[in-house]
Amino acid sequence: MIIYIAAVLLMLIGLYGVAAKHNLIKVAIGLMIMQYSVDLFLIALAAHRLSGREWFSQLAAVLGLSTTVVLVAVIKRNYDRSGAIDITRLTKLKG
Amino acid sequence: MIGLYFTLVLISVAAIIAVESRNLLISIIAFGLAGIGFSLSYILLGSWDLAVIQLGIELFLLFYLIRSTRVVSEPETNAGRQLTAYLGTIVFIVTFLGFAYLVFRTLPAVNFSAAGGGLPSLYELVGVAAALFAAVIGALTILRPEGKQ
Repeated sequence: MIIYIAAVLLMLIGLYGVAAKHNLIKVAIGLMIMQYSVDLFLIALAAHRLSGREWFSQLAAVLGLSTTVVLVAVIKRNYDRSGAIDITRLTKLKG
Repeated sequence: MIGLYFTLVLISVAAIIAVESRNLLISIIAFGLAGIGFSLSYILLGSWDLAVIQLGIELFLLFYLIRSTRVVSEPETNAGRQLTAYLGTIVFIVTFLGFAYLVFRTLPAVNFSAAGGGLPSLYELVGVAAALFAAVIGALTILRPEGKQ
């Protein structure tokens, strides 16, 4: 049960990083922490040999890497163009 | 068992440092520490193959994030916006905890060292390769120099 609680705690830490931080790098780190917590949760469930969860967590880990690589590329390109890494200063797409 | 709990505490502390530190380099290194802690916890849970994948991913992400980060200090933010962000975060956390409480009552107990999976099938490998290929193409497309107008 402690593993489940740790997974929820890490999900909350990541959620805090995504929702409360204005730095785009911090947002990316928060997203990755949330994804890792989901992996930990799936591995804890896979201990019961329930079908699919083990390989799904492998695929989820690689998909998390892929999304983070693209996200960091977007952040870097955005910084090159606007010079800002703070999401409150990125107002060109504001409706 | 004690090692696993110690690793979980280490991951939690590293994650908090990664989110809260005002120096981005310290944040990235703490995030790398958390990722290696995840890899260690997968080993302790008996899932060796995912531990190897996690370790490779974490090392790659660590170098990639350090290489990509140019601004080291965190920018100053407006106090009003920060208060709004904190209030929104509290709403998200309360909502998430409500759903987590509903799910927790149905969870089975963890059976340690029984989580190991077999070799991945061809379809899984193809899926992983396709995801990595798409990520590399996407990153190269975004980071390319200005093309023809």
